[in-house]
Amino acid sequence: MTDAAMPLKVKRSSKWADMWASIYANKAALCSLFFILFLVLTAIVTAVTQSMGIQILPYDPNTGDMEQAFIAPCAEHWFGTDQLGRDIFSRVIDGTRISLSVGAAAVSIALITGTLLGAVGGFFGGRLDNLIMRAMDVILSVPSILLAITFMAALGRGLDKAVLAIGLVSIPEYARIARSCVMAVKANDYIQAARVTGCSNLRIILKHIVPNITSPIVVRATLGISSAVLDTAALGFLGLGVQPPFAEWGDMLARSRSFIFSAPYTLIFPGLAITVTVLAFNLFGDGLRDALDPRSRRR
Amino acid sequence: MLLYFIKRLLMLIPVLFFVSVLVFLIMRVFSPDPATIVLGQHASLEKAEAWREQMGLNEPIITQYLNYMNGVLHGDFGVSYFTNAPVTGELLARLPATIELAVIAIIIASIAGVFFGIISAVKKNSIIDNFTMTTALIGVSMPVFWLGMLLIICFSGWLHWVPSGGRIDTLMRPMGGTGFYFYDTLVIGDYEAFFNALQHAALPAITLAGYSMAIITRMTRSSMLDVLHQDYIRTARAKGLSSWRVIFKHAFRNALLPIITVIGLQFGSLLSGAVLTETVFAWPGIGAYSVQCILRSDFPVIQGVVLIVAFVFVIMNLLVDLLYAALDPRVKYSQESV
Amino acid sequence: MLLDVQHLTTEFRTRHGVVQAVRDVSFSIEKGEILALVGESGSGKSVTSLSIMGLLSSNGRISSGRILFNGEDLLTKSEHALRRIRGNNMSMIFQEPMTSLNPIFTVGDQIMESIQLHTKLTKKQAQEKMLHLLDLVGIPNPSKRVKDYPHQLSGGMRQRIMIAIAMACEPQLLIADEPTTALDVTIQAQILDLIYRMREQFNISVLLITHDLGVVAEAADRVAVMYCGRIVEDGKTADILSSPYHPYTLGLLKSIPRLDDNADRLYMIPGMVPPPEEVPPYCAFADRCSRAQDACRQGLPPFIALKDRNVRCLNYITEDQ
Repeated sequence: MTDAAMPLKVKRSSKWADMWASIYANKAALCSLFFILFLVLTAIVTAVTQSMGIQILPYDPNTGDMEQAFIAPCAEHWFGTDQLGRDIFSRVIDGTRISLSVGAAAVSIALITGTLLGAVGGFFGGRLDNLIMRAMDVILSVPSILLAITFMAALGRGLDKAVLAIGLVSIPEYARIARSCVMAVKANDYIQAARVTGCSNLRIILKHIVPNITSPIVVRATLGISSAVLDTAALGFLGLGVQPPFAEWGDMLARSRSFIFSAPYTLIFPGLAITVTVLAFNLFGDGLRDALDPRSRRR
Repeated sequence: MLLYFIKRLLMLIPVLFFVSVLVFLIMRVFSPDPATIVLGQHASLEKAEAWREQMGLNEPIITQYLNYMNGVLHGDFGVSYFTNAPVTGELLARLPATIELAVIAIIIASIAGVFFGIISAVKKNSIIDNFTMTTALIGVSMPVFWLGMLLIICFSGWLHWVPSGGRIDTLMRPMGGTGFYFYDTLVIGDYEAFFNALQHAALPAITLAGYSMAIITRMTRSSMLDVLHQDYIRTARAKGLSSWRVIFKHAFRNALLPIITVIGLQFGSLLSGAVLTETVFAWPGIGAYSVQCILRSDFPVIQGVVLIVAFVFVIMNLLVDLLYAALDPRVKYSQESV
Repeated sequence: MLLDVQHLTTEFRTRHGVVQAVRDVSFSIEKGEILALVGESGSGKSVTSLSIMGLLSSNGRISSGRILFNGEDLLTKSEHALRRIRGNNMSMIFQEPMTSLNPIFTVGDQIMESIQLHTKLTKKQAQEKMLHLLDLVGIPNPSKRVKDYPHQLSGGMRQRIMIAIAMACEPQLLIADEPTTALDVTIQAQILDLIYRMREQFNISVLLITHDLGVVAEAADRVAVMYCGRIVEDGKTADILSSPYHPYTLGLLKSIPRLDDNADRLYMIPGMVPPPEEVPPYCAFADRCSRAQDACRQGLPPFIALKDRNVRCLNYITEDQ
């Protein structure tokens, strides 16, 4: 109501403190953050212990005992066992590592390439910008999962290729965000002033543009991980992801499909793991967006 | 309007051209030699060479592309590496199944999404709103194929309401016709077959619609909330209009513009979601077929599928833009800086 | 007496808890009278008007008081009954003509909607009436303009359209919420003149909401000054403008820029309006007032009835000062 009066009333606090306060107040986002931290920790612990040859999971996720196949969830096997007698709980936990690392790696590729392309285009403008954005349009004119599948079809199966495919198809999102942020910042008077006073391009980019595009890119990346996890599972489900015997949620679902009526529990838990993980990143991403962009919070 | 339409249509040509180049490059440059994939690692060099010669893979890449595109423009997408059957025929045979599924799904998603979105916005922060928004959030977080499998477990495994896969019972399949079973069965008046097809389509359509429905619900809600705060809504209420007339005539008509954009975009993503859904439900459409072809590296088919989907996708986007211009008097075709 | 607002209190649920935007406000409007409700933004004047129209947002509620319109209490009426009054017997125009018209309907559609909602005229009769209305509010070439969309018209034209919509059913009361604030100065005068003419021609009553104690309020017969949700002074326009009794009214008058004034800088009331959740339980103006005494902070001053006005101040300015 009294806009002019606001700055005097609100205590001056840093942007980060505001952000934390806002996330702290958003219980769903806060819980999601804790859950994500828990997932990351799980992934790290399983990766480290496996490389050291220590078995921390109740069973070896990749070897099974055919005699123990299709045991419904019970005290020994919380989530039951699969068609090869492998413990599903151990495999679901082990799968966290793959899904999170593929998600993070794919988002990193897209984020770095996309932000650079978008920022360069937005900053220098002209033909270079035009060329970059037209290239992004071409990528956007094919639905992303279909393009990822096409890449995989050509490159062959494997997690490394899945990372590449998922990363490549999401480049345009980051490029567009970065470009519009850079153009908006560039139009500001203080940037014009910095240019007039002879600041180098690099200095302008580092001092003025980078801080401004951080928040939207971070929000996009958080939500991007959730779609990368979904895409990874989809590629795994189509048989384009990991090679056996490694545990990947989408692949586990694909292999359980034949037993959908006889052993439905084999596909409940991997699917639940995907959904909960994606949900956590979505909730946290939404919370982060509200925290970083107060305009979206109004409703 | 016509001029604007033609202008926009012409703009699609470079986009489609570059898409075709991109797909061609992915398939021919990044991929390993198709001969070893098709004929196996141990095929003799002569045999491989003969196959390459037959498929025209020994020509310079530019010539290959031009030959391919020349065919595409004449409706010829080449031949499958494996069956040697023309790709065009293979795709045309499966297109009706995919279109039928996608159209039912988009109808379900749009109607339900808009309905729940409006209720959510009007009853903001109520129990209904919270429930709808939570469901929508879970909807966008769930893998499509998992949702499909859960529905199969529930509705065909436990309840035995509907079959778990296929398009229609084999004996009821309409002969000849257009390949659109809903249409074909109604035309010959075979209501039993129509109902059978409907039962088969129920789960795949709901599965495919799920994600889009969640997106449309969220978009409708936020668009409606934006509009409901506008001054002209207060004006409409000040006229003494009933709240339903305010909501549907004054608010919804304005909120519709972003909703239409989202629905148009969703139709594109439905086509790719079909790849997963069709696989889960053994739906004999383009999606399930292209998965088989991907797994055996049948590049001409994949190339054809991607080109067709990209074509549909850009055409949908164009239609959305045109609809936008028709609905919003503020959009002027002539002033568009295209 | 057409409108009689008695002890109106309106509150809102906000993040700071329940806050009162309008506190125990009473005023009345005679038939054919123009009352200006004057105050700064946040004083509760717009909320008062929305309370009368029954158009409060969903987090707002009238917690006590009565609003008598033609002797009937609007607060006891059903939503259905209110809808028949709204836009028919009582109508409203708003501050922002740029955003108050629906962008996707032609202005003709929007006027017709009002006419057809409340009258039983045939389409043809309604159209004739619409053209007549547009002529009345000074729109040149009405039969052409009705096919225009709002974005094709200027702000002044749109406000005339808004007035045409409001006048569609010849209401008894017109509420004009800052009708000229968003317009150019020359257009302001035209719109005020138009409202004035409407009153002359149809003998309607007008509740004119404004922050401008100068030009706009001068168009009114009586003025009520609001501060922090309460009316602090009301009386005849001439009396109040020539000799304000409440220090706040005086402050407002002094802060109007005048051509004949050669002071170096514009007068400003010291301090600022407290936000609704921080309004003190005593005279809300005391903390900004140069005439404040200890007694002013002891409790709420009563509304003192003097011979030509009411004033809510313990130490009001008398004529000889």
